[in-house]
Amino acid sequence: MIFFPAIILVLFLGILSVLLLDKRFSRPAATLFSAIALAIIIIMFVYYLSGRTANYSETVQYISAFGISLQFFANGFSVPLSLLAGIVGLAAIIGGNPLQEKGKVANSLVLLFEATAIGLFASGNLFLFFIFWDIGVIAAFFMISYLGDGNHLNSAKIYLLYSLLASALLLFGILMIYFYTPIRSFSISIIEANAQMIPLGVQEVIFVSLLIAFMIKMPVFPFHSWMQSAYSDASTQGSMLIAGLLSKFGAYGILLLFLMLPVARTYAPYILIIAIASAFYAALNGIRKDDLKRMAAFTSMAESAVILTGIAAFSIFGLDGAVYGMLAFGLGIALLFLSIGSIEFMFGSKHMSILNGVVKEAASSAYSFLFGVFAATGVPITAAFIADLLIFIGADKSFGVLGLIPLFSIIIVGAYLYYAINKSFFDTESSVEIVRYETGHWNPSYALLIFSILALGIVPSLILGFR
Amino acid sequence: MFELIVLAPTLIAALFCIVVVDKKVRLTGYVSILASLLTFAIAVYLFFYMPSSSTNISWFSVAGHLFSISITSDHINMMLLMLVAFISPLIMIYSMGFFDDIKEHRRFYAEMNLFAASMLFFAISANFIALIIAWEGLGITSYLLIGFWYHKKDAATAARESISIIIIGDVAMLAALIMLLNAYGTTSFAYISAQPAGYQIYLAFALVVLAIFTKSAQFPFSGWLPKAMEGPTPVSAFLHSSTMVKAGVFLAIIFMPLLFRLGLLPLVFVIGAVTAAIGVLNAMSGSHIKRILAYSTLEDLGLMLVAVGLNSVIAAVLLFITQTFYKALLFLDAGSIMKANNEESNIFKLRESGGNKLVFWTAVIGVLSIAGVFPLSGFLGKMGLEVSATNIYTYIFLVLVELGTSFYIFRWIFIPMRNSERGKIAESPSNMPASMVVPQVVLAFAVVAATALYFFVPGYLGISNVSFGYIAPVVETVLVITGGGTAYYLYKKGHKVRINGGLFTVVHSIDLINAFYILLSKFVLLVSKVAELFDYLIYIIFALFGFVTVFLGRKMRNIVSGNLNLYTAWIVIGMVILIIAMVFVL
Repeated sequence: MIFFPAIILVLFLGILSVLLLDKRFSRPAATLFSAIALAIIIIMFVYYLSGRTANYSETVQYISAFGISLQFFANGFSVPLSLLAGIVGLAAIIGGNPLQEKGKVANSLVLLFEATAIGLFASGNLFLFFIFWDIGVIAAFFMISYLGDGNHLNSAKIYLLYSLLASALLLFGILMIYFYTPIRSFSISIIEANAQMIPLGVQEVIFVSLLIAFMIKMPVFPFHSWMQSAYSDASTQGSMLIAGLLSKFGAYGILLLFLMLPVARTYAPYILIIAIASAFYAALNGIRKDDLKRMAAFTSMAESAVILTGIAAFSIFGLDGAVYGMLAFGLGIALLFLSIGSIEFMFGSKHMSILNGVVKEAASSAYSFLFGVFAATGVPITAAFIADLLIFIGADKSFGVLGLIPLFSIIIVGAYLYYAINKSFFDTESSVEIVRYETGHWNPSYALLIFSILALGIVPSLILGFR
Repeated sequence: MFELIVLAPTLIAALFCIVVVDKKVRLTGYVSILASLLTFAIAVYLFFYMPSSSTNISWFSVAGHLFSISITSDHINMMLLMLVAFISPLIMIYSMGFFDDIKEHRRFYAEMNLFAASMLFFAISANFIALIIAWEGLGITSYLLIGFWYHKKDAATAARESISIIIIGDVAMLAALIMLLNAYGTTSFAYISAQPAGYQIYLAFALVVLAIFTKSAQFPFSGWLPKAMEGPTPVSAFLHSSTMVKAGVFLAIIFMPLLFRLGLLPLVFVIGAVTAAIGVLNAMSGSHIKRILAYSTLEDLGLMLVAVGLNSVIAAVLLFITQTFYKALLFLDAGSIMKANNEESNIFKLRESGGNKLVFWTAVIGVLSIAGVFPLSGFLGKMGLEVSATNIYTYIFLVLVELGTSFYIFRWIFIPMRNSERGKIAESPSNMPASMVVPQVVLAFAVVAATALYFFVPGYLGISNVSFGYIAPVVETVLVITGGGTAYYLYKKGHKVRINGGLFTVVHSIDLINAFYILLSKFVLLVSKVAELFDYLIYIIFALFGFVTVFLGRKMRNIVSGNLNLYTAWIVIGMVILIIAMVFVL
């Protein structure tokens, strides 16, 4: 079966049709192709789930001279993460751009990014990984620079500089791996088998350069300076995809790094320290933000730190939890950004100090935000609870009580998110004026995201039965 | 497995409330009442016919480890289930009359059903995984219900403050769950209770006790409970009598033997005593009709934990059960009285009952019960506690608390009575709908009938019978008469004293706690300010790289100016350097 090439092909067909068809058909076409892609993902999901096939690979020859092929892995990481990309992408297309401003570009960028994300999560060799990585970076760049608002050009510049640094380090690391592995190959499975033969010093260089590259993308303290302005100034769809998927590129990268390089595991305690610092740093910075998108950005950063904890724990619980966390937090943060974007659309502001009594006029957005907060704080029966549970079981097994410390950042995250709800959403004594009336386009997206979060929270064996 | 069916009616009703069309919104109330009555019927069946057993329902598995939800039909769990199932139909019926605006029914009943379902699930949970689902479910549903009238600033703020504190306990509980799971491979209550004391379990249970304190609003987490009065009265009645705050105490009762072995009971005792003292002091000087009752709940919860701290199961359980009835009754009375007085909440401006005799007399029964007058059920709880006092200081403390209780609760009823006699408010009393009065009458009967528990509870829970002796009841009666008499003298006869100055601050100790919180949040804000500045600093450092690059670029630009003479000069200089290098190196 060649599910992954098929999904990517469908999405590229979607891009073509969006660009060729008239502007009016932009959203329907994008929705259709994205929905087909999601359908294929679900079919693939059921197919692998029923067969319980672990590490199934799909290969199409590409540059055979260098042994580079389009190799995709279907395993416990790629299939759930593709599901995340499919859901977030579809939700972004349906609800993220209510008036279809610059509709053609916006929709095709979402489809491109979705394809990229699926390709990256499934790529079986590092060459493919790098290509998808860079396409994703550029797609996200245009979502900030061309589709964004506010001080978007500057934000896009900062984002791009950081991303270029990350890409450079990534390429450097990948080439180092290629040249120092005895059997020269980009294939992840071959590298995994042979990486222990790379000299220790070289491994450390590779580890540090790749780690920094991935930490920039996650983002993790202290490489997060691009984050808040990029998340805040991107278009709603852009914020959803950057927070929901792009930051998971980094997390997935670190996961691969831990799987590939034996030396990474010896540095696990340091990674834990970084995760602890990052979690509390993000939570504390989130308190100060008046811009709801920046607040959500720091929430996402705190969640990334939790995922990082799970990866550092590097046990089955930790890794399963980390993948579950990427899925759960990705869906949750996309929901938060979508509701903030819709609120900004209706009220012309995303600032806590200006917004008041949102729930009166925009009940669905306000309640979706509230649900997003439940999802972010790991309330049971939302997916994030399972993620938190597994990640910290793994962390406690590997690091003892110290591993549990990042969990407590949720207290601060919850405190400021509930404060925002109190200030801007409820308390309708004086409500802010409406700029544009509700279009309702986002309601199906809310439903899709909330349904997914609940489904994953109530029936975790959907994903966990996989490995 | 069968126990889970008890959740079905409320969950279905909640779903119904969510999906029902606006035209049929009146149905939500009836469906909810029907569901809660059905729940009650199931609970009764379980209570009498279900043998004590526990079941594991597997949820999911990771790496061969099975995460399962464990439920039980132990006697003590069935007792709690019974209480919740008994109170919830009454609250649901009362709410029908309470809400004037029919539009509010839908959201209210949806949230209320979820709240009830969470508590029912809590009642039958037998491991920490089941527990935390119910525990956090209670947290968020109570958040929604306290902030039900979110258009009022105070209600929205009260809801936020409650969830901000509850979330501390939730996270602590999750951390404890993870530690226990890793240490023992299971989270079953029965298994963990039997474990010997150790470092891991001590740490985990320190967190559990923290979670209990947040849930049961113990010092220093007690600030949210009085503010939670901003929610609708049926919510207060439910929250204070049988759900939410009782969850923490119930957990403490279940784990009492283990807490004893771990040496955590003294902590529970001290915190409970402090909370009880705070509750009594604030109740004695309060003027908000519901808030006095809220402080009274603080006192009750504190006393329950004191009983736990004294390692007396029977006292804790008796207090637990009897408090449910009289507190639910008093809250419903308070709601009716407020409704009859146009939502006036200051006891100095209220009339007793808006002319409805049933409301008044049920309130009197509630007052007598909470004060601990002999044949009423409240008496049992007080007695159980007083006989379990281990030393003279505890006894004196309990006597003082008891004195304070009878003082503030008689004050609570005497002041509105006096207002009625003097005819302070001229407005005509509104008619009380039957749906509001009937639950009060039922509860009043329950308060009276619950005295019979004395004969059943010890046997049902398999604990040795307690004897109150003769001295304790006499002392108790003297205390009630003293406290009530003082209140009569001061407030019914009108020799009112005003508490002010430094004493007022001490008495309103809840304000001190709130001040402590404000200080704490200021501190966190300060730290976050530092973090923000630091964030800016990092940004600057990275921006500096950019500036340096741009600066270098500007300088380098001059090299490629297109001036051929300059190029030639550079070539010559380069050649010279190369030659020198070759000469010296080779």
